[in-house]
Amino acid sequence: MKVLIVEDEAELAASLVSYLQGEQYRCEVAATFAAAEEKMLLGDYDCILLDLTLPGGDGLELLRQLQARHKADGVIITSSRNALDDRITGLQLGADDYLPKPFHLSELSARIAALVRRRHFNGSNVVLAGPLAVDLLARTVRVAGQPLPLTRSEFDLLVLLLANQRRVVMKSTIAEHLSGDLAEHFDSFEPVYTHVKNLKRKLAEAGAGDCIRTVYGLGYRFELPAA
Amino acid sequence: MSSTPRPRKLLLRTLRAQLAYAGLVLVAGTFLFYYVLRQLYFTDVDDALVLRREEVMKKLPLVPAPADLALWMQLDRDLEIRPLGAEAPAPERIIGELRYDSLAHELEPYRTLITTVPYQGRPYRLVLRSSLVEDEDLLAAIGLAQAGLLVVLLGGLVLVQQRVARRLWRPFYDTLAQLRRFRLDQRTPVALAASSVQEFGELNEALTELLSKHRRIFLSQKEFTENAAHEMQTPLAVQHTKLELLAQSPDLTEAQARHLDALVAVTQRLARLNRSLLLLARLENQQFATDDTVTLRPVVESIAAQLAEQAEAAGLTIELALTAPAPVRANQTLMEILVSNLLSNAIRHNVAGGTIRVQLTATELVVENTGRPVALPVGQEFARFRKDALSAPGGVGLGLAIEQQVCDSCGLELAYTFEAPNRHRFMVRFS
Repeated sequence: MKVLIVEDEAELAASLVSYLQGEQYRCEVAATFAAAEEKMLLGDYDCILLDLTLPGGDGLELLRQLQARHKADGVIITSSRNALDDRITGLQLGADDYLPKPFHLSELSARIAALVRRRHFNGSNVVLAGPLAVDLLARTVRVAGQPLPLTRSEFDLLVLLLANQRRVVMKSTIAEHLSGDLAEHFDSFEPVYTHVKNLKRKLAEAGAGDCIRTVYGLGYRFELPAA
Repeated sequence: MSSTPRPRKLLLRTLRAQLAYAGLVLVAGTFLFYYVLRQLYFTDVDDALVLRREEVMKKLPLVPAPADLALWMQLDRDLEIRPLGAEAPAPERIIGELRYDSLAHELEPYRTLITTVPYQGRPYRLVLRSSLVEDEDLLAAIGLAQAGLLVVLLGGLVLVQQRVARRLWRPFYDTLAQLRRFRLDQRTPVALAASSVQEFGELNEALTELLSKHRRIFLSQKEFTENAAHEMQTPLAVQHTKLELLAQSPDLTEAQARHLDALVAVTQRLARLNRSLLLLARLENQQFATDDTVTLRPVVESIAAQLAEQAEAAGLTIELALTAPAPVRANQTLMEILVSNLLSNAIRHNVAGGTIRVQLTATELVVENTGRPVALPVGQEFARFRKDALSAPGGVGLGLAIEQQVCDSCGLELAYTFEAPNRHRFMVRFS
């Protein structure tokens, strides 16, 4: 999987590369408008992370060029220009998603996974992890072939963790993933603890083992127990 | 500026002034005409009397005896000739007088010539009278003519105003309509049509310049807001991602994790604060179009559902009484921000086992919650960064200021009341 990171802030680009490489993505970075334009023309990417404010031009212009070549659906806009009209324009121009800065790496990783899945595995939207089979489209989970009923939040939580296997997903990321912008009103992670606890219990009862580890109150890590 | 309490149309004002002046001139003219005409008429009648006197003096020697004078007087009621008694002969004069008319049975105006004539060697007083056409008739005739003139003149004025003036003023009303429609955040610069009337042409030119200047300022402000966002959000994004990467270290100790957790929390808080400040800046710059129709009921329902978990975690019950769909002219995003702020505040500032009551009617949204047994300080409810015993930990102190700004920019009214012992009530009125 090839990912193009269009980002002028070198440290941020480095963080993205560092995190995404662990997920078996091959990353390329373009720090200017011109560089991004050239790479987009020459290369073929499964996903493009597009910052809108670039030295040398407006990211939306790049998006227009991609749209003209019917490639805009692989784009996730990662912008600090949180202006509503930019978001709308971006999505109208065919961008797949819009993630305002500052974002969480694990959330971004989940969005990329979802995007890649939508584009490349049309029809078979099932994530397999050990005994787990998660159907993203039908929103159902099977453990060793047996259906496992989950609530909406538990399902979303599981998908987020699966997209970041063997990584620590911080509890603030989970809170935002589950309740979006509303999460910012609360410092209490009570609902996160509850959902994680319930999901852990359900998975264990279904025979998937203890696959969600707590990392010192910082967050959680999904890891299949060594067989 | 104006002393009149109710503004009236300019056209109406000029028309009223013109009508008043025309009426004044016509009324004054009526009297003037009457006096001038009467004067002309008197002169005419007086000339005729003098001619008649000469005629009488020519015929007088033909009268054979003084007794025959009585017969003449009987034949001509407007003639009187009598011997002058003891009084001295007076010089000839013409006077106006009123006499009783035995035929018409009323007082009639007369012009009367009085003079002294010699007859058969003795002085006689000669009185000649001429009846005047009745004054009132003349006045009435003139008045009628003038009134007719008044109606024609005023009617004409009104017509001229309505047809010509309206056409003349059309560019002005066109400009006005465009100004009403003008929004700072509109995409295209305003273009006011050139006018063949010099004043309107100049007005449009001046307005176009003013508006485009404001638009430029607005755009640069917006740009500043965006730049500020970028400048702040990018370092925050770097900080956040680095902390996330740090959390992936395989040999992370528990103490390090604790520090990391605190760092993540403050980074989140900074990001939140920055987002709130930017939202406020954008609200103040009126960068939101507020002319969508937003139906509040689904907004409230969806946000209440999303917050149900948080409420449950805090042991609160939410009661919804949404009796109307409540369409409001506002902005969808802003209404979502307003409702989520109101509801999250009601959750955050609540007490264990407390309640939140949300009422939505066609005219207002009321969010009432149990909380601390003290009212928010009057006049400072919506102040920024208020720090007191009432502020809940973790909040950035901008929630209520944002609510206030959202309401302001959408033309809604936000009010707060406190009801003992511990009920806090926020009302958004949109009727």
